[in-house]
Amino acid sequence: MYVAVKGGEAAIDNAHQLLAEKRRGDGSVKVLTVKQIQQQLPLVVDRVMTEGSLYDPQLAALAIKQAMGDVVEAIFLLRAYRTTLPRFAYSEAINTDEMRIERRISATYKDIPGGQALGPTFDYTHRLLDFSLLEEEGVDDEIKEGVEETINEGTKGNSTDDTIRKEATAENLIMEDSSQSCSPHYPRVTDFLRQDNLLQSHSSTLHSSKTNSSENKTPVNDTQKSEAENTCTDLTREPLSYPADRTARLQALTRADEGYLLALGYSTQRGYGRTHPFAGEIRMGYVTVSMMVEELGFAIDLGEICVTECDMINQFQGNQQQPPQFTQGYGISFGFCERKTMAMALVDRSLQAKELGEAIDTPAAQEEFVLSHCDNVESSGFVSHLKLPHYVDFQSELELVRQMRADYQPVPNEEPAVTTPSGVANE
Amino acid sequence: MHSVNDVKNSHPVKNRQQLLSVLSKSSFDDINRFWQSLSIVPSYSLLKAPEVGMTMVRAKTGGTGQAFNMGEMTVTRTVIRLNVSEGHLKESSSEEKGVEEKCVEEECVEEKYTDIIGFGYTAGRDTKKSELIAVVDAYFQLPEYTDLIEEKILQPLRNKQRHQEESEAKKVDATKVNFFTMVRGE
Repeated sequence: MYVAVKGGEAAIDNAHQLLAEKRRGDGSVKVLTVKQIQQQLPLVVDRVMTEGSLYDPQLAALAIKQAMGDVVEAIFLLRAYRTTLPRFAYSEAINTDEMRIERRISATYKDIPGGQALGPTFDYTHRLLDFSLLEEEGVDDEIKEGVEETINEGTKGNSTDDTIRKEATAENLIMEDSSQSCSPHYPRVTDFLRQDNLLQSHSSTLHSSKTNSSENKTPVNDTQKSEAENTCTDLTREPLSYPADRTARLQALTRADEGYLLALGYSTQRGYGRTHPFAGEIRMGYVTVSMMVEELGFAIDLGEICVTECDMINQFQGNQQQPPQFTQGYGISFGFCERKTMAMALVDRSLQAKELGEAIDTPAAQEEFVLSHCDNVESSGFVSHLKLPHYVDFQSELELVRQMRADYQPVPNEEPAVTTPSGVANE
Repeated sequence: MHSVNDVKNSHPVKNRQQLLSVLSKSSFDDINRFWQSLSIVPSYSLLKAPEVGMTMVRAKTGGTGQAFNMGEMTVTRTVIRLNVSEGHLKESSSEEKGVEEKCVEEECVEEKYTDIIGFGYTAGRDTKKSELIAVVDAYFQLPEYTDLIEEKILQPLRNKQRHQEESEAKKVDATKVNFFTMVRGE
């Protein structure tokens, strides 16, 4: 147990002063702006939004700046901020089928309707340090134009080229007719398998969870939504309870620490699990969020958010109720957190062991272990509290060890004593 | 997009939904630029001053299954009521198209308020944008302004969005791959 201490105000003030200085770094170097972080470090912004569980790129960038790049600290800051805001409502469920695609790949089918678009990816890069970035400075529009040129070269003869390159002046925009944009359609890969009954139906994991979720139902004053939608757990309103239904697990996993999920997902691949995954589809892009407004009586769009989604397809031997088929693990994140969504999908699948009647004998399949330790704000809080003054507590331990040593009589025994790990300290 | 189709009501609601959708996805600067071109001096009172809050975003398990809560997003909302009387409107619109004088309180008190409420909901924390959306939404409900706003604000914003989406889609298209399966040991 830690104890309260008094004093040290001046030292604490000075420490914070020093921290501010450290954050600023060498004063002769230009101050890093939040806009720069938002624009040029988008992937860390995305991670902070996902695990901070709040979509707001500017605030996430601010948190990163304030935390001096300490991602977990930034996530903590964002989580703390979100507690100060009122909750307006729940959104309608986003429709990722209608995503404005920026990246979409499948590792299960070579030729998929809509095609595979690599998008902005590190895949197939050589992982060699690019020393030209050392010299990069100032404002630069050339890169963008360069990309556009090569695109236009590659698709010469396309009549829409000119309209796109035309300068978007106010007059032009008014004059033009706004026929519906014909964005390409990207059908979901898992739907192909589902049509052939080769993939588990959504209800198979629902049934077993129904009994659990019925007791801790959240009352949502939106009566128009179907009951199934309203029974989903909200961990910001009620604590996680076990056994957890899949909606609770997915919410916990979405805000879970990426490193933790990555390690657990990896463990299932190496042998601590038997889920045999394939990346059925990974897509990243923009989706519209809409929300029912009671006073209006209809749902309105709030804007677009960037999300990444991973459909993992896994083997399943079948059981007495279900024939052999593929099962699915699902991962999603705000922004572009591809590794996170893949790891999340692996863990989501291994946590379905219970519902599929599989043996729960690996760490990644034990939901209480996985879910109670996945939140990095919680875990860093408890680990970090060890820094707080434990002076009294430690004094008593010290006394005890001294006493025990005084009473200690070595037993003349040839065999080395077997050391048992001491139990978890009760604080 | 699915939400637009969900609504049972016919045209007016749909149009407003589309209006609010386009506005929420546009920047304050863009909306304001086109709004200013109408030279309307808006007169309204705030029913709900611009307020920053959150919406819990829901996703679906497996992309198509049961809904679950994935995380929150910041949202700003404003609700306004127009302080414009019907008679006043007709006068001004017949006098000079699109130009309206600011409603002086004493004049309006005698006449009947049109009782038009405008809603401004938008992702993020831009209070100015939220308020402007509410104003545009309110004026859009006045028959005198519906077509004007459709033509001078909605259309250009829509076109701009389309431009952006198309040029982005083009860049993505350029990254499309055709993988060939190699025979092992070849």
